[in-house]
Amino acid sequence: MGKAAEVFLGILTAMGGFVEIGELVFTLTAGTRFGYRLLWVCVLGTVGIMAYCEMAGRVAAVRGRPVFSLVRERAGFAAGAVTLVASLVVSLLTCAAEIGGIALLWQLVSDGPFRLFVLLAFAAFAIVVWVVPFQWIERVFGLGGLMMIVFAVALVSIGPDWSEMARGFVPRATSGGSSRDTLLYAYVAVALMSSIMLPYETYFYASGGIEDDWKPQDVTLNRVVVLAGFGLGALLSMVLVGLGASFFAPHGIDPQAPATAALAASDALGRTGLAFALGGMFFAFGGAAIETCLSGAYNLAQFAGWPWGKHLQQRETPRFTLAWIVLLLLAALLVLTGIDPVQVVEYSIVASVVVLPLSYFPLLMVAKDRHIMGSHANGWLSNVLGWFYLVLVTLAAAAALPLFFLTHEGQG
Amino acid sequence: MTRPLHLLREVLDHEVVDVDGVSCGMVDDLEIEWTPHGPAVAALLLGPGAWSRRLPHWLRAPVRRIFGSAIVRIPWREVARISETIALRSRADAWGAGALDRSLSKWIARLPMS
Amino acid sequence: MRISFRLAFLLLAGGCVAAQAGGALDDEAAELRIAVGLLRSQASELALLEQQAQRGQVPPRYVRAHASQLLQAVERAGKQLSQARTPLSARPQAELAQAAARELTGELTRLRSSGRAQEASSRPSLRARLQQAEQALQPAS
Repeated sequence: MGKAAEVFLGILTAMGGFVEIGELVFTLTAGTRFGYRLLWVCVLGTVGIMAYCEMAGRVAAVRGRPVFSLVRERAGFAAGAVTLVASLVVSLLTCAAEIGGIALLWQLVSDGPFRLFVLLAFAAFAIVVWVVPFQWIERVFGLGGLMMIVFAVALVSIGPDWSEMARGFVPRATSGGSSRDTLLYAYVAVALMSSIMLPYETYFYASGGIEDDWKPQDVTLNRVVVLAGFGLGALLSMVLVGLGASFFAPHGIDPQAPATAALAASDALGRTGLAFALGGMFFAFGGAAIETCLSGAYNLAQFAGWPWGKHLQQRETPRFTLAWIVLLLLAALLVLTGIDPVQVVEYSIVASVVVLPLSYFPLLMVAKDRHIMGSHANGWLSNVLGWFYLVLVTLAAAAALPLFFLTHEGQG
Repeated sequence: MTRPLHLLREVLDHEVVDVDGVSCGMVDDLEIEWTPHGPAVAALLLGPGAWSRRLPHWLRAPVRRIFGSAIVRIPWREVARISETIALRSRADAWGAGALDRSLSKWIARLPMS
Repeated sequence: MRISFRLAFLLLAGGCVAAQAGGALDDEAAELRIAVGLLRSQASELALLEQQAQRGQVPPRYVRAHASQLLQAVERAGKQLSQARTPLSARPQAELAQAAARELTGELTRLRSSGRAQEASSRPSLRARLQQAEQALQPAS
């Protein structure tokens, strides 16, 4: 396949894989509760994840080392172990949230008990990850996620107030709101940013680069894919904020579940819209479920020095293989305990933001280190963005839990 | 190796790779011995017995109960090259590294498409 | 490094405890208002679902499945409502919400089996009632 086709596919895959259940719920919530006033957070979060994924991809391409090996090398054993445990917990929660979402989607299209669909989801994804090569998993789920473009069509057909929407890109203080409103605004802003900058994304991206056997000459390819793919994916997240503001808010609905989200598509485009929305969400959540369980296994294997990778056979990477299967199983079991899937989403997003500084700090240290990266070390822009976002996510991490409790677990 | 080697930066917590390129684990600890020329690295230590010593004291006992306290000891003379990873002269099983991997591997190999 | 980890953890824990206490103090009717808000959203969602069912925008089979999931959500909200702390002044709203929850449950149960929307519906007033109750429970700001 030509280089151009590879880049094009990479962009589409990154775009389709951008949104998962946490982002879906929080973009819609942001739009419903605060209109277009949180759109600037979408931009802020997207630039942040672009900066850090570009760094992670560059490190993988130049040194052939995945992020987590470097975390242990640079930050040491104790700090690395804390980061590992934290990232495993977050991966588990996020994977559980996606599996819950998928089971809900399946329940919408065919009769059956929720628990059965959870087990089916586990079995189906275990088989897919076991059998299907890495590149094909990425492509199928990434491209399938593009069906969510139906939401953009829905937004355009509703015809929102575009000038009001444009104003949302400029951060403004919530005027005239009570302190309760301000707290909720802050919480949703932090949660929304966290849902865009999920920690597993950088790790998975870097490990994926090694699975795809990137070399130093692939650094440019890495940059193009990151910028274009994530940028387009971010447009979808802004569309969802717009739908929250222009469709769900006037109807008085707080969308929390995939079924609710789908109503926007069916309202605009009938049964076809519904089918695209459900299909798109299935691939988006499914891709994220696979990515999170693999990401957890990558982290564990890279920290412990086990052979790892889908590019090797399972018998060559037994502990890595066992790790992702166990993670997927534990995620399914968590959902089977009967916990509300929407609640799991909320907890996973809050846990993610608390973990984020731990993930980003070692990555920044490695990417800017000339001894490790040579001429490919961070330029001034990557350094500025890297430090800016590190400070930002640290502040967000400190504020997240207090805000969570002050806003009655994000419900106001 | 004629340039000074920074043990903490370049050896400790780095990946150990055997002669076939298979990953054997991470350098979890170093064994230092006293020689007439001063202290020298005697061996690389891998395994839960080695890294559990680096945990806070209250965690050591429970961790050892879960993960065991096995130590794989690789003499320093086995190190062929130090770069991104620590390359060994021989295969992993010569030193007992990756034993768990091999037993799991036989079990997994029975499954289809592995 | 060890010292700063512990300090960070203590600060975080302290912040959370303070926030929990603070969250409880400022707004007595918060739990009730949140539960009523959930029911209001669910009533609105039911109205939209029925509207789309009437227009044929969603197939009956899907309507039944969606109604089933929405019913579970209403049951959870109803439980939250009954467990919510209710100050004396908010008793009327709480009772209104309880009645609304029962009505919602009834409607959704019917929809779950039939898959078809009723012609004349009491939905607007149900939604309006819950909206009014939610508004009444806002703290004076």
